[in-house]
Amino acid sequence: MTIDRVEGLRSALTAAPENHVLRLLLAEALVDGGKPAEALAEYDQLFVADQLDGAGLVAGGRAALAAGRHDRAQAFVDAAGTTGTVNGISELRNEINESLGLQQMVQLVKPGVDEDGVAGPELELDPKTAVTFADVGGLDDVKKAINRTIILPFQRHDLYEKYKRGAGGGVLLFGPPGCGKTLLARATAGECGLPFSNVRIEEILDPYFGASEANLHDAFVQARRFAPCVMFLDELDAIALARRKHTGSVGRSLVDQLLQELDAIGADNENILVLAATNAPWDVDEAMKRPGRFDRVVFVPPPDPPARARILALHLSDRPADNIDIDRLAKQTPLFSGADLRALVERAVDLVIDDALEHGEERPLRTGDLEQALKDMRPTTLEWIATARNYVEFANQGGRYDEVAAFLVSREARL
Amino acid sequence: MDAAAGPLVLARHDLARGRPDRALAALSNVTGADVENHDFWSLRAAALYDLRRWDEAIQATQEGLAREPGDFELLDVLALAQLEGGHAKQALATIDAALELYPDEAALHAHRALILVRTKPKAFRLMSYKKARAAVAEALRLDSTCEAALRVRAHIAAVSGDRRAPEYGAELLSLDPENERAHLIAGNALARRGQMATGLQHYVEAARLDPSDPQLAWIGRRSRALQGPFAAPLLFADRLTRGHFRFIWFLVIYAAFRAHQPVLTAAVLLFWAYIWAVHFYLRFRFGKEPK
Repeated sequence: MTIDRVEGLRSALTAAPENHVLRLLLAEALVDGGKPAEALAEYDQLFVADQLDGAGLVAGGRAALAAGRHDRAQAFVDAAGTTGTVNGISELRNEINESLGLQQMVQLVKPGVDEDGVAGPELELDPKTAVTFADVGGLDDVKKAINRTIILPFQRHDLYEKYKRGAGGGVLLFGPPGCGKTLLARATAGECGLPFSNVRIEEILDPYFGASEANLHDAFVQARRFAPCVMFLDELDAIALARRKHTGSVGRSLVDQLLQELDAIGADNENILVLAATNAPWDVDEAMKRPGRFDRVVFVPPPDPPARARILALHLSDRPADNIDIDRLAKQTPLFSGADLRALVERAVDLVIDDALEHGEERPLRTGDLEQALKDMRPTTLEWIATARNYVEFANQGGRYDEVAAFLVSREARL
Repeated sequence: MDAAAGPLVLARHDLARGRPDRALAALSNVTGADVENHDFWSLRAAALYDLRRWDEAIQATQEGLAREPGDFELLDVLALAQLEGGHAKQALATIDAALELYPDEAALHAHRALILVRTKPKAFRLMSYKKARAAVAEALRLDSTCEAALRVRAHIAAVSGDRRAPEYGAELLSLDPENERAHLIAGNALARRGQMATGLQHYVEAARLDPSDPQLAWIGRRSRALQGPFAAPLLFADRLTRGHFRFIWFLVIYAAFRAHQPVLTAAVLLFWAYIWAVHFYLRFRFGKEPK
């Protein structure tokens, strides 16, 4: 059937050689038919004619890779990188590297104390273990926003340089707990193909006077050394709590130190992308949100039904399951976070295990088990949403929570 | 950055930033000899108190006091937790014991005043206010800038109908204009003196400063509704009677019925219906005050 289709498309193309849609269909049919070299020839023609969008370029890169043409694969993936394509680029890059045997070039670097006595955060550099957007279920709008504002400046350095707009800067991700902020930050680093440094409050805090500030400074020094890289500050509100809310002076000086590092007095933060996540953006010091610091604030909402379906599918993929109606479950779980959905699947699995222990029958997981588990569960995002509603109502004078306000009037949030 | 902060350091940081839930989670990682540490119980008690888990807070303070019997902060938290947990007499005994150890601690005197206000039954309130005022005066004599003492003084003035209440509220606000509790107390003081409109503004401001507190958010919502035109006649009546609307309203009803004037009676009944309408509207729209 594929051969018939290929022949049919070839005949049609002979009659209309300028029909690019037909050529793309032919290329796809050739890939499906296991003829990557012939498919590559068609993709090449489309490439020359500038008729491939981002997804087409990624597909062309895959065909080139399958045909063993690494140079062409690299050309396709580079071109895809400049179009703002969100999905598939990192995977394809990794596959090319792997195919070229470059994986041994990357490593997990755990710098210890260097000659200056500066200890550093752990930096992940291994793209084989790197997370990409494909690993994050749903959140398509957020991914697009991050791609446009964060990834493209790194990939289209020339364009941004022309307009004197430097890459790097700060982005604050906020939203209810368990909705993928940390994963998204890792995926951003993975998409950029940059080292990822995770700075946690446990690593910064020190009971001795001035030591916490020194730890924070060291983290930035290390990141600057590895630039370009992505530095991630998890739970920003713990480090940069609004100064008016501090009861002691220790926390205040930590905020001052972070402001100084972000402003990079006497240092260069060019090519360091500082990402931060928080469940409580209202607790973060206002000075952090000024231009040049965390000037881009991205709301990460609870997953929508298609995203929930993807997350459920991901959690169910390696378990014995019997024809589970994922779409139905996705509709029954409004406002459930990714973590809630994982807990749901685990509870359902517990029910099956209990059943197996009681009756001796090791049956697969069914939709009914998940629905049974769902009866005792409430989304953990509810408390956050209630608090966010109060902030939108009373403390949104500057329009900072407009995205949250839009989410709160959505059908799901009103249920 | 080679050594990660211990759970006690983390818990202290979390408490300082107003996240007792996180502090408690950090403390759950404490193991071994640290559980015997008095600091552990002190932090745990403070976290449980902030989370309004009174009985557990009492238990934690007692554990801490068993390890360090004279700890001033633990005694203070124990007394306040006992008060909030409905054990007012025990709270008074605890704070009196603490004051024997630390007679010069202004905060302890201030909290004693708070306990006194809430200990006595309504019939003896006036006596309680007298003793409480004396305790606050002692606290302020020891430390004229003690925030707890200023707060309790403003609170007592507001609930006892003291005409200086707005002045005390303003003084409290001057120390920290961004303190939501200060706005709440100032709002109470003004509302009870018939200056409802200004009081409502303070309530809304308190909610704006800390919308994460469900109680403040509830007060803020109600206040916003009361700022609308439909409640304006009620607010005007309250201002006219200088905060004694309820008392005077009963006199008006009595007088209207005694006067046998159909028009006056109808007007009074109409206004009465309006008052109930406002009451039911607020109840229906905002529900009960969250605890």
